[in-house]
Amino acid sequence: MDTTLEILKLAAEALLAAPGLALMLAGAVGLLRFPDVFTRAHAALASDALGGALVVAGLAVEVWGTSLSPRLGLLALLLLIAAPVLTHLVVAAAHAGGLAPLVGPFAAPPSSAKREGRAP
Amino acid sequence: MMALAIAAVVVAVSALALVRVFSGPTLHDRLLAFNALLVRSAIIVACLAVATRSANLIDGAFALVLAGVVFSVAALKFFSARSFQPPMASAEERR
Repeated sequence: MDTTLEILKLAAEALLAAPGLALMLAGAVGLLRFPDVFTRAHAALASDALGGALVVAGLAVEVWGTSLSPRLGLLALLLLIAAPVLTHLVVAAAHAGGLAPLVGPFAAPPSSAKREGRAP
Repeated sequence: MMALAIAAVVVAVSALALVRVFSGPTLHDRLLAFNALLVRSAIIVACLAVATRSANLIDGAFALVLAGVVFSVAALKFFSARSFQPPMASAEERR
């Protein structure tokens, strides 16, 4: 009975933490490869909010039943709340600071695209 | 034991974000990557708390996330105003 519970806990932790780690890795690669700050914000948001919360939830399953697991659940909730708010603030500040997207339907016209890449 | 393996993977991933901190063309890129770095270090601290089964260490993870929020807001305010001081005159008088 005890060993089956251990195996079930291990499986649940791997099931939660493995997609989280994959999301974090994909977000880190996107942070390196994407062209401008607006697309990089997408990668950072996915890796921080969803990936981080999944990894922390997997950790909470590992210590299920101790005093650590509710705190880890609260940490996952905090990550889910804080990362979108911060990403929105960064993107709004970048837009207000004069940065334009390099790709997509809202990309700056080619004449002013040279100014992209420098802080205003 | 699994928590330490997760921590090792997260350390490897945060090395990738460190590249963007140093090479990001704009200040906002650097801030975004640095905030991701802070969140990942909070996850590493949470992994260490689980590995050592110490309930005190988890408060360090909370502190890192909240300090990251405060740091980012302060840095964005500094980026936009180039000052931490509020303007002394109203917008009408400055015009």
